[in-house]
Amino acid sequence: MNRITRICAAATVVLALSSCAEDTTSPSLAEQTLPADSVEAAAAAARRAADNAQVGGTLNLLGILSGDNMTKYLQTLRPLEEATGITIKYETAGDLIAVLQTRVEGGNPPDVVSNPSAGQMRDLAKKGSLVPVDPMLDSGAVRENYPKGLWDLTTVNEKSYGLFVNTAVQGLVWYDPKTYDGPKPPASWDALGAWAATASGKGRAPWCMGLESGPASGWPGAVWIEQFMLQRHGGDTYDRWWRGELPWTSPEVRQAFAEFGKVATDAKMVSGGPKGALTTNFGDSPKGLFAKPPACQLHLQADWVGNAMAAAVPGVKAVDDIDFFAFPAVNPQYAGSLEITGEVVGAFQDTPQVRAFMRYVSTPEFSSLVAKTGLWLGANRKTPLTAYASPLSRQAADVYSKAADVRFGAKDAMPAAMSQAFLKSVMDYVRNPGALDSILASVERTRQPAG
Amino acid sequence: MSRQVLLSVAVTVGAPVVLLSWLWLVERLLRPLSYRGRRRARPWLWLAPPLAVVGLYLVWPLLSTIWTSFQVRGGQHGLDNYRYLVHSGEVHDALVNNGLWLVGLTAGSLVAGTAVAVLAHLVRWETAAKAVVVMPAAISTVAAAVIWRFMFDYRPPGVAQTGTLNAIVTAAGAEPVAWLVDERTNNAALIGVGIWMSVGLVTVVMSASIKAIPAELIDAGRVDGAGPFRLFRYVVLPQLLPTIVVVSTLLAITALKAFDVVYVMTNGNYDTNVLANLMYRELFLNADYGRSAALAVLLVILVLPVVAVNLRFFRKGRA
Repeated sequence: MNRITRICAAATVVLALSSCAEDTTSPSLAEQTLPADSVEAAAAAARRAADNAQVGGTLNLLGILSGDNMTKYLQTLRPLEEATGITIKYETAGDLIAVLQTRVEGGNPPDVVSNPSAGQMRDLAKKGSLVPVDPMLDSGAVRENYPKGLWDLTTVNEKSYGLFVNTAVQGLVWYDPKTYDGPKPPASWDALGAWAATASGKGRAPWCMGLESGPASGWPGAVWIEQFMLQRHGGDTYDRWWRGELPWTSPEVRQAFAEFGKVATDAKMVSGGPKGALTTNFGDSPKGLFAKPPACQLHLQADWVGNAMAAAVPGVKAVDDIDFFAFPAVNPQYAGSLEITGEVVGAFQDTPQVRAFMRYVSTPEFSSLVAKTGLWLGANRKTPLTAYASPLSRQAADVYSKAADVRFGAKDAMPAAMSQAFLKSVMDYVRNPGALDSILASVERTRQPAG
Repeated sequence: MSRQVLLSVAVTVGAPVVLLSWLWLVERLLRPLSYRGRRRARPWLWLAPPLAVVGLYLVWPLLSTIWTSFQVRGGQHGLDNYRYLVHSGEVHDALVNNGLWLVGLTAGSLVAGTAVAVLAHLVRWETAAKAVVVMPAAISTVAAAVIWRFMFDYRPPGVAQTGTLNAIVTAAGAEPVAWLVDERTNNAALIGVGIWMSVGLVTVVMSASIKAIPAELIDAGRVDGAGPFRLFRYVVLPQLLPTIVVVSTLLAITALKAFDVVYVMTNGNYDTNVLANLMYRELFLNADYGRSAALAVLLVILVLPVVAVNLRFFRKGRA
C-alpha cells in the first residue's frame, strides 16, 4: 500500500508536468478579451439558465487544460459566474483519466468534469457514477442543436450523460502557401501521394510529423490511422472499430496502419525519418514548415494549430503563412468524411449550481463565446459562422458544417485502456514496421467492447 | 476553524495522556505476575499501541492487496491475475528491465558513490567536491527526468542538435543517437538518470562511514608496508562492508520500484517498461485492481530477498 501511495504522489507531480504539453499557444491569445456584446449576450443566457436566481455557492470543475487554453476556457464561463454568483473552481489534471478514475473510486468526484475522453464518460455512466443531464435541460430543443453522433457517444440506456462544450476538427492538412507547390486542395489522397512521391524523389521529405507527447505519445499518429479507417472504409466500419466490434487484426485496420506507415516509416516521406517522427514533440513538428530551408511542406493536425503557430513562430501570419485543406478523399465513396474531437462535460451530482452550469453551456450564446476564442469550434450547431473571429477557425467551422459525415475521434471514444494500447501500438509500429502483425495481435488481446 | 484548533489541542494533549494511562494500566495488570512473567510480558504490552498502528497502516493493506490480487475482473476470485504474470510478454519484458535496473542502479551508484567518497576524503576541497555530486539528490525525480530529456534530445542528422549529448556526439563527427528510442541505449540512459539521482546519498553515507574508520588502523597498515590499493582492499573496504550492505539494500529497493523516470521519459515505450509502470497502468487507466494488486504482490516478493539478506547480515553482526 505504501508503494501505491508513493506512486500516487509521483503521479500527482507528473500531472503538473504533463499538462505543460497541452499548452501550445503564446500569451498573446489569452491577453485578448472576448467582445463585450457576445459576453453580454452570454450573460443574458446565463440569467435565463438560472431562472434569474442568484444561485451562489461553488462548482468544482475538473479538466485537462492549463495555461492560456485554461484562461480562455474560463473566460467563456465568466458570464455564468457574474450572472448567478456561482464560483467556478477549475482544477487542472494533465493525466485526467487517471485522476478522475481515482477520485471517483475514492468517493470524492468533482461536481462536473470536462473530459476529452467520451469513452471514459460512457464507462462512468454505465457504472452509475454520473447523473443524467436530460432532466436538467429542455432536452427536446437542446437535442436538435447537436449532431446525433455526439449524443450517441454519451447516451447509455436512453439517458444522456454529457454535453459537448467545444470541438476541434481533426486531420486537416496544413501548409505554408509561400513554399508549398503541390495541389491545393488535391482531388484525392492518390493525387497528393503522387505529388509527395515526386517531391521525395527530389530529396525533399514532403511531410513533418511529431508523435512525442509525454505519456500520451503516439496520438498524432492515431489521428492519421483514424483518417484512413474513416476515409478508406467508411463511418460504419470506423464505428465498429472503436466500439470493439472489429478485430485489430482485421484487414481494414491493418491497411489503415500500413497506409499511415507509408508516410511515417519512410525516411524519404517524413522529415527526419521515423526516428525524427518518434522523438519530435507534436508542438514542435509544425515549426518544420517554417524552417529555413523548410524541413517539409505538409503537416497533419487539428484546426487549432494554425492560430497556435501564428502565435508561436515570429513572422508567421494566419492564412498568409499557414493555411489548410481537409484530408483529401481516399475512397470516393466516403469523400467528405470528417473526424472531430472535443470536451464533454458530465455531472456527478445534481445541485442548483450544476443545473445552471449545464443549462448555460447548452445555449448557443455560450457556444458563440467559445467560437470567439479562436481555439475551439462551438459544439452547438446554432453557432453562427460569423461568431468565428479568426479566419482559420471560420474556415474550419465551414468544413465542419459542410462535412458529409462527421465521426468522433476513435481514440477518445474507445475505453481508456483500449486507447492507451492503441497509442502504444502507434509508437511500436513506427519504430518497428516489420512487426505490424504481432503489434496488432497484441492490441487485439486487450480489445473490449465499448458498449 | 475553531473546531480544528480544538481538535488539534485535544490530540496533542490527549495522545500522551492516553499512552501514559495505557502504560499505567499495563503496570497495574502486571503486578500480580512473577518477576520473570513481568519481564516477559512487559515489552509486548508496551509495544502494543505502536504495533497496532503499524498493523493498521501496513499489515492490513498488505493483506488486503494480496486478497485483491485474487479478484478477477467481473467479480469472481481465481488465479487469472497470476496466470497473467506468468504468461504475459509485457510482464516478462518489465521483469528483465527491472533486472537491468537492479544490477545497473545498485552497482553504478555504489561504485560511483564510494569512489567519490574515498577520493574526496583525500583532497583538500572535499566539501565542494561532494556538494557537486550530492546536489542532484535534492531535485525531484520528475524534474530530473525532464532535465535529462533535454540532455538526451534528438534531432535528425544535418539539423542543429539541441540535446547536450548529441551536440557533443555530432561535434566529434559521429551520427546523432536517439538515446531514448534506440533499444541499445535507452535502458542505460534511464538507469543513468537513476544513478545521477542516487549517487549523492551513497556518497554522503559512505563518506560518513570512511570518517568513522579509526586512524590507527590505517596507520598500522601503512607501517606494515601496504600501498594505497592494498590499504583500500584489506583495511578500508572490510570496515565499510556493513555500510555497503545497507546502501545496496536501499538501492536495490529503489531499482525495483523504479517508476517516475520511466513514466516521464518514455512511458515504457521502446522496450523500457518496468513493473511499477505496468501496475500504474492497470490501476489508474484500466481500473483492473486485481491485476495491479498481483503486480504489487510480485514487487513485494522481489523485495523480500533483499530485506532478508539485510536482516541476516545484521543479526550475524550483533552476535
